[in-house]
Amino acid sequence: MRLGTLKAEWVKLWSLRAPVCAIVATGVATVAGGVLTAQAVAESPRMAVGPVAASMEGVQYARFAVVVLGVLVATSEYSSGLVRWTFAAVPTRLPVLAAKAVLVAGVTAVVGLMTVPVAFLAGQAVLGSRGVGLGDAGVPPALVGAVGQLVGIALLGVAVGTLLRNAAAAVGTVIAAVAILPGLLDTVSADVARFAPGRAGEETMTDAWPAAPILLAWVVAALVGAGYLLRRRDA
Amino acid sequence: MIDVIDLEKHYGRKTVLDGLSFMVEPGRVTGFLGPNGAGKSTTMRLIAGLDAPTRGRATVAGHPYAEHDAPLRTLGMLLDAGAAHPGRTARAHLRALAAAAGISRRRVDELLTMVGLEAVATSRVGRFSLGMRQRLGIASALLGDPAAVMLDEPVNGLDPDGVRWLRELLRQLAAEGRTVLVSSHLMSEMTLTADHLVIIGRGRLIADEPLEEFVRRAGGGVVEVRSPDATALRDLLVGPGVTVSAREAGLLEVSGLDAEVIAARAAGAGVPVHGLTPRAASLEQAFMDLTRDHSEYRSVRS
Repeated sequence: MRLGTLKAEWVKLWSLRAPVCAIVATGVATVAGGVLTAQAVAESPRMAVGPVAASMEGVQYARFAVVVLGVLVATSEYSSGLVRWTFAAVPTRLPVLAAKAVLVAGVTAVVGLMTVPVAFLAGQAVLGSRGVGLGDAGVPPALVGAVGQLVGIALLGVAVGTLLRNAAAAVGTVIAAVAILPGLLDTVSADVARFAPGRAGEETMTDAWPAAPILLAWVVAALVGAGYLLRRRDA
Repeated sequence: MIDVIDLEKHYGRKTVLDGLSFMVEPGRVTGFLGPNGAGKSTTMRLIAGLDAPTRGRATVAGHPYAEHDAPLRTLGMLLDAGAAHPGRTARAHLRALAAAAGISRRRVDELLTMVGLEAVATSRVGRFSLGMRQRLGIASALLGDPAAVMLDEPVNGLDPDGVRWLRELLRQLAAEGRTVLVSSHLMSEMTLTADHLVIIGRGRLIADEPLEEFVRRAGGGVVEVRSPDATALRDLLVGPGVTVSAREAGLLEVSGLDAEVIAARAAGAGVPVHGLTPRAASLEQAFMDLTRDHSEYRSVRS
């Protein structure tokens, strides 16, 4: 029956426009953001942005799209009362959250794996002689980190969407945690800011330790909290 | 069979259900009645395990709903006509539900035809009328071919044709030996559909009896008699099984005798009668009388 739960979530995902748009936006932002930034860097040689970072700049924009994807997969249940059907079919509830998480992680990973290398290669092509190759030092970890960051942030969207049950509130919360919190914490200290999910995500692309475990810890904590409340709360 | 045992539910400090117990038997349509806010929907959500009771429990076929291996095959439900995402098509909505419950896609198309939505199967639910959403909800309820069906206000929004269709469907489900629980706040609809009534008010059981019993109790038939000599008339009429009460000076309410008998007796004794009005007690009135003291929201009569 677990497979059935996953299949149900699969049908739900592809039968609504908004999450499909978010998936497309993730790919477009990754590639277009990378190419345009590479273009800007190519045209102004004094910009202090490395070739890898320039081509991965689109991932920073794609983060917002995957937040929307993750949140919508969770909150579209609540906006319409559909959740009652969902939980009537799967009264133990946790398999539903697990299926949503697996699905969002899988779709985000596939989109990331398809578009992050494209963004890199296109970006390096734009940079011409200043570009680097796929096999150069630090490049493979950066690309893997970019995909990992997107997956992690999408899962934060699922968890916070499940916790808050409201798309606007959840998108606002995750985007604040990803894009605003690190800057705020920088005013305290950069060492503190590293623990914000957004900063951890960014640093995953340059240095996976300890950024990747920090992001993972956020994801696990948020999902566990979401699962705990999902079981306890009235639907 | 649905068994509600001493259910209690508080939302914050508000008590919605207060020790409610009743049993829904298979093979008949049980009407679940109560004024707005009586706790009908809450009871149904507790039966379906969507909300947790503060105290007490509810079982379906002997076990709590959530403990069934194939819950949608045990109990089908319509809890909220709007409970489909407006952006999804009717078919996608049912397919997702069917997938979760391990039910085939063929069954989805079967049900779309059965509830009369096959022509709009690929339209988004957001464009549906309330009546169409009710039909979709009823299709969802029957998806698992369940032994018990629980429908919350399914008549809302249906056109007269749809109401008749639903009535026949409910009767048929009961005739097949299924357990059928249907809520409504309208007595009139229930008298046409239900065999048995469970009436609640303010989260408490008010009545749990066969429809006939309720009708008999409610509709004994009252005759209003106007006479300038009411006292003499009353003495003429009282007897076993007959009650006579004085509404006001010169106006009697007689139950247990029909108008012809009253007229004949009055004429025989030479007591003048100025008016004789048989008042068919309406079931709606009886329902309202019964639930008056248990109403959560009441309009103020000026």
